[in-house]
Amino acid sequence: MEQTFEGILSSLLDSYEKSESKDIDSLLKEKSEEFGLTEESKSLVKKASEYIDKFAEKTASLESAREDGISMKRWLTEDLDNSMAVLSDDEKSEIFEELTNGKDDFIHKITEEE
Amino acid sequence: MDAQNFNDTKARFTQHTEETSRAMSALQSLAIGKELSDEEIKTIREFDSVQEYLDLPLNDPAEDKIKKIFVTAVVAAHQKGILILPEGYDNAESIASIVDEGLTRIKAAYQVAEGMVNPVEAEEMIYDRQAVRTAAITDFVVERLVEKANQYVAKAEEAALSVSDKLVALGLGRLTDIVCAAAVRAYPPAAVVVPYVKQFVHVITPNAQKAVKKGIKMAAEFARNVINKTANKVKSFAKKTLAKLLE
Repeated sequence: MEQTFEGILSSLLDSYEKSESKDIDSLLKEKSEEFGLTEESKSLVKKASEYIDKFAEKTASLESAREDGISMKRWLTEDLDNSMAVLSDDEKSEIFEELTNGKDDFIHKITEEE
Repeated sequence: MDAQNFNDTKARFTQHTEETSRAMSALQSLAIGKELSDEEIKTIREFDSVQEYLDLPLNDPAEDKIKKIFVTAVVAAHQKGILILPEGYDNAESIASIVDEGLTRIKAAYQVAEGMVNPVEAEEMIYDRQAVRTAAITDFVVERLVEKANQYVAKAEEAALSVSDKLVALGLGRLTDIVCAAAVRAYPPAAVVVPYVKQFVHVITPNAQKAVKKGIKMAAEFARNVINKTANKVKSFAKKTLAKLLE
């Protein structure tokens, strides 16, 4: 059983490099069992991996928008609007407002903390 | 709300995104540069797959396999109490964002130092990742909340309630609060990312590590210029602390 971060990471990378199929999802399932991950941790790995896939999907969407001459900021606004299509304009508007204010708060917070 | 007001709100968001995202990205570069540029980090083992990741074009789809491996390592280390995620960061959005930000920073630094991209392109790429993560997290969270809200049809007349009202009726809280709290996780602060970056560089070759450190220094220098140009425009900078970062 690996007891250091480097040990865990090395074990994962080692198994990946030795694996013939390179089927990452199956491999990570096997390794999660081997590491003795709890159901909660396995679920966390699955959900975080789904986010990695979603990041890739959005990256492709942004790259395609750029090819059409659309700026990143316009792409982001339209993508958020589409993701919230089932919400009312009031609900969407409140979220856009909060996201705008939230970024200000965040900058303030990180310049305070760091 | 009429359509004009809604479009104005969206336009404000779009305008704000430009300045604040660049400012946030530059701040992170500066903070990471302060933490990492001179520190000696030992290479534990070298892996071809990690070197391939560093050499792949930025945003290549093949990067995802390595990112998922690092995600699993972070979760396993957290469960075992080896590398504890700070409070509020032990969720899927934060873990995926920490890995994405950490690995992207390492790769961008490496590619800048090796002359594969210039500092402007690298900073643009990091800045794009933040937008991509915001879009992905918002998409997922809204989708899941709407699914939950749609389960709330206790009475026929309640089916017509808004998503916000259904979530409140289910005791899940305010829609806006949930979405925004999740979306901000797309921006893990440098203080959270740096310990992972230090762990991640253990598995790259000493030569690549040298390049990463050089690239991180170059990124910090570039960020200093961006901040100097932006500081007067972005009101939310905590000026006193910013001055320390720029020392």
